[in-house]
Amino acid sequence: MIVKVKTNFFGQPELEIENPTLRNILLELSNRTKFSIFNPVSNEIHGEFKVYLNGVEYEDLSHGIDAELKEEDKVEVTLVVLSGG
Amino acid sequence: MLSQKELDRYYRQIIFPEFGERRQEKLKNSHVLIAGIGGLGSLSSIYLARAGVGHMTIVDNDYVELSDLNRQILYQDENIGERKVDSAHKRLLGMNPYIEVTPIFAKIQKDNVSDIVKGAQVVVDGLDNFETRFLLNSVCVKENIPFVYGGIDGFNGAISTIIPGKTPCLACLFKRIPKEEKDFLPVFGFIPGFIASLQSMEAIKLLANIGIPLAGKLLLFDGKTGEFLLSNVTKDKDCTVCQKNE
Repeated sequence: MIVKVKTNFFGQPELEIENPTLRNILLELSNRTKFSIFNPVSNEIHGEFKVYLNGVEYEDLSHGIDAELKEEDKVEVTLVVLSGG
Repeated sequence: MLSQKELDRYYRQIIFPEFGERRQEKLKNSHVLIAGIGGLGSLSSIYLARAGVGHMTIVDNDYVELSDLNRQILYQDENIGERKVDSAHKRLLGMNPYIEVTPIFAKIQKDNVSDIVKGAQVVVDGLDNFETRFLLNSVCVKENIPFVYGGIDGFNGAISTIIPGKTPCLACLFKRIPKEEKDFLPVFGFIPGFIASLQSMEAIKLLANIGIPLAGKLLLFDGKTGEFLLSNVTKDKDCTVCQKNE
């Protein structure tokens, strides 16, 4: 399945994923950007990113990062503004 | 015109082939606003002062606290309880008496931000909250002043140079603004130190017209993994800040 991911740091890449889950999307996105977006051991998304599936933050999904994707699902991975100084 | 003392002071910059006396003089005739003189602003102001930026305005409304000293390298124990802008003013002139430093003890707000940025050729972000950053971003866009964004959180740091009319603005980059949840963010000194070093470099590149600024790019650094992400960012055609100015 091809999943189009909306980001504010890497355009809107189209990712071809065999078993489309948020986890696999993030792994592929990390692979493409060469930048870790989440920790696959602890399953924690790094604090500088927010991940949404159809506008719902991943933490609020019943399967979290293992949520399975369907055709037409909208995935958004957003880099958040770092506010400290 | 640079004096002999200034020529000696900046010698190691002047001998950089593309820089020379001409660009050093440009720095001398420059005016930079450092908005916030905490972790980021401490270090960027030091490098800009030592590099010979002729006039810096520093703005902050805080007092030096003990918990600032792990990272705010302008201050020492003896400064605890003092207004940051006063300690910083004295310290920066001690580092370079050939520059002018204008301290402003104030919180940057809607009703004073236009006056505060007036005359600045570059604004360097040393702020510690979203709200003031986005206010400053919008005024810089309106007044056509380059804005060097810097932000930190824990082991992470980010920087981007915003050039009004040419690059996306901060509001284009970050459309979803999260709620400010914590009063105090965790921070080690080396992250603002690193980001502020880059911010001072960006400011000098803009002022001296040398090199290529990080315009239209966002650099993110994760200190825990040592990874960098350099991304091209694009203008948001619906941006309510920069698109209405074009």
